[in-house]
Amino acid sequence: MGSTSTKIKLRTSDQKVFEVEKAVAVQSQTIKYFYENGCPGSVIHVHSVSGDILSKILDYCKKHVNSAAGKEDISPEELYEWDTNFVKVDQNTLFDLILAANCLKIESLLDLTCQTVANMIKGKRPEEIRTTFNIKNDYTPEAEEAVRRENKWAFDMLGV
Amino acid sequence: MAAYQRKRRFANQTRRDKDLDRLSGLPDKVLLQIISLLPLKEIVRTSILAIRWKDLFSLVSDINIDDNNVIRKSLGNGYMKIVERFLFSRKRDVGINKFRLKCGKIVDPFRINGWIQYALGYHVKELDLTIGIKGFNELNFGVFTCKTLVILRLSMDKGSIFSVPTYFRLPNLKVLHLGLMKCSDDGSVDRLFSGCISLEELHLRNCEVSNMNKLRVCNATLKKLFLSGFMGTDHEIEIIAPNLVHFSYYYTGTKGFSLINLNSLSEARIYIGPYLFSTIDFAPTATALMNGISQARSLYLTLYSSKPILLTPGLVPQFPNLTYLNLEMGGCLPEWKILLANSPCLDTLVLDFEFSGSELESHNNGRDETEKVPGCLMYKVKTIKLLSFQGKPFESQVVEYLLKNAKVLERFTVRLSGKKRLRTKISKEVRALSRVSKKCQLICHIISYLPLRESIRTSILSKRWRHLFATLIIDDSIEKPQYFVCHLPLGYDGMSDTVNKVLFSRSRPTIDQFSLKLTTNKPDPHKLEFGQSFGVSVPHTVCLPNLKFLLLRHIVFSDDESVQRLFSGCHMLEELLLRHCSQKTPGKFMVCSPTLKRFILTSFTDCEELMINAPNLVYFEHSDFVVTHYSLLSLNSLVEARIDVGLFTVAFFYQTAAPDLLRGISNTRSLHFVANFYRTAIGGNESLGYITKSPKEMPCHR
Repeated sequence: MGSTSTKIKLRTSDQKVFEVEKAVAVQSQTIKYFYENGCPGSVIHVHSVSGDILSKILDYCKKHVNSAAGKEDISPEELYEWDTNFVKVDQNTLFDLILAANCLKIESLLDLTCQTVANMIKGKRPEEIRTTFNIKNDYTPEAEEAVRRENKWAFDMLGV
Repeated sequence: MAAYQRKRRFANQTRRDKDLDRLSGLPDKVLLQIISLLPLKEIVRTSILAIRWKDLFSLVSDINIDDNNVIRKSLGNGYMKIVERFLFSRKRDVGINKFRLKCGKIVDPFRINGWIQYALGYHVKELDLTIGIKGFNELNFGVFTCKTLVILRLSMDKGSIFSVPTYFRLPNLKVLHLGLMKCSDDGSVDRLFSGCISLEELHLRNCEVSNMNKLRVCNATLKKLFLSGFMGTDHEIEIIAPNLVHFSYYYTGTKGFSLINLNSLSEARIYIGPYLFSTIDFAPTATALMNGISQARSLYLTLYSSKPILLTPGLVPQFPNLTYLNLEMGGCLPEWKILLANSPCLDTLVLDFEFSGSELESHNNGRDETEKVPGCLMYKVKTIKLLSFQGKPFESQVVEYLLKNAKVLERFTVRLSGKKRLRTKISKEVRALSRVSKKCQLICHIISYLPLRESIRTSILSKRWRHLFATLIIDDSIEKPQYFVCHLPLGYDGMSDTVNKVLFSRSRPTIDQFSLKLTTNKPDPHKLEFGQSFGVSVPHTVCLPNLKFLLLRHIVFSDDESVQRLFSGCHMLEELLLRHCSQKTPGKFMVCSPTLKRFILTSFTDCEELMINAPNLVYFEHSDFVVTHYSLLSLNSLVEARIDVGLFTVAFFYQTAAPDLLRGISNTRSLHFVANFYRTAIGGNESLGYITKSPKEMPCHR
């Protein structure tokens, strides 16, 4: 299988160069597009991603490609567990992963990371969400009250 | 606003400060994806977080309505109000991408069609409806005529069965799931296809087909087909789908099959329960099914039967393309080997013992020992996995059979059944297994599935277990089953295994000097293999009177006499393989043996003079070497010689070494000489009958 052993070279924003198996790299639709429409063998620049983040992302892609191809013997539950551990990172890294997954167009990773953030938001009061993510409340008290009034139904804490 | 955002994001990238708000810095698209995963009310509540969030909730295009989250029925009214307020608060010009509606508890049936109409009005692309409400009788007809729909999942739970409508017009639909629908007559499915001209994936789950005689799937665009759980037993299934790649079928009482033209089939997953095999004339049905999928490349087959059904003539067809077989044997199927016999290209075999019965022993006791081993098992199968291994006697027999006959096996994995991870139980099973098949390192495999600490604890079980854990490849970071890859055949199970175990042991990662004591106390070894980089100083007391085969890889001989001492102790040596060996101090390398018949020497370095004295040598292979002098004596029996000079272009080789070498092997009857550059003439080869030359250049000789 010649196609699986083909390597793709990637250069990150901090000028690190990665050599990646094609099957792994084309998990990213962006890289796939550049690979198919660029010169063969040329280095693909992934400007918006740093080396640290890219190596994490490649770990993720490799794991999923290998388990899908049966190269690695891993049950779906174990893969799920692996994913869960994969996103147990600090917020900065998590958001870097989201931005990278968005820009590289890796659908499954974007879903996974977004779900992680949504879980961090779920069930919290607005004040708690602000503290968790350092969101600065730039409303004036009056403006905030007006927004609350606009969708009053959503802010009574009863029900779902 | 946008400029502000950009500025803010830029600031985020430059200042990795702890107090940074990275969440608000995300692009709208991603932020919307995140908040659309929240319950409806919480989506709206995000509006007061900050100005950035004020209108975001009204742009959400993935809507998920699920009344399962409502805890009390009395809150139902409130929930319906929330849904409607939410839908109302969305911006008018934002389309809907996904609309998922799941209700079975509290939603009033008359509201549902209104909500669906809302989604249709916003050009929904993916519609996912699971409705299980009593009194919901009529589904919004617009669902079946929506031009924008790409994915439609429709499931009517809790007994409210709907008929598949007679009119379909979904030109862009690619994926269609129908669950618990009723197919009113034979034409139902045909009508469905005629209205969905782009359909690629069809799932029919638990559909009521009692009115049908024949379920006909005839479609040229269809790539994936999943059929399961039909209600009704009097129907036949006909499938004509030349582009079908994936076919899943869960058997429930189909009377007959005709599968035609499934030539693109790559993966088939078939489940046949005991029901079919309990009927008297199961054979035609099962045969038609199996023959229809015979072009598949990978097959997941689950069979439940207490009778030996696979031996029914014609039931198991030839699988000419099959490379992957996953077999789950429920009940007992002692004749599973016939599947291997009919799959000549099989590469990977997975056996799942999850529901295997125990009655199998009785079948296996009468096993014919002389039965023919399937060819693919002997020559093709590289990977074997055993899942849900419980250590039953039958399973052990399967392991023994597989390990005995799989000659080219590279990977062997056993996954223990999750329930029996207790150490004592496992070690009991392990002991039983080690009795069954002494020749394999099964124990190591099994220990490798224990948690790290428990695997180390096995060292105190008995002397035999002392070092076994150390042979595992263990990733300390995760305490999870690790897969120990083992290369078979494992060679002589006495000494060389012991040596390798010691060498590969993790507690001794670097070995500078390895002293090997070879004594006669061991049972007669005929074959000895070492491999790993270490220096060897062969002791004076070598005595291996029965050794016939010796393979040395990556061995550094400590002194000139080592090799001589080795040979002097091996009176019967017939075959010697030296690969990637070298001498610590460059010097003379002598191979003198009257019994030696085959000698292969590759990648040998640091040798000044190679001396061979072997009157009975028949085969001599020599490649990738740096030797300056040769003295080859009495190679009179030589029949075949293979010399590969490769890219060796150093001049002195051609001036001094090459003539010596060629003169030495001049008695050979067949010479394969590969050289990329040829400069000097070859000495007279009296009985040379056959010559192969390099593809590049070499003047023809004789």
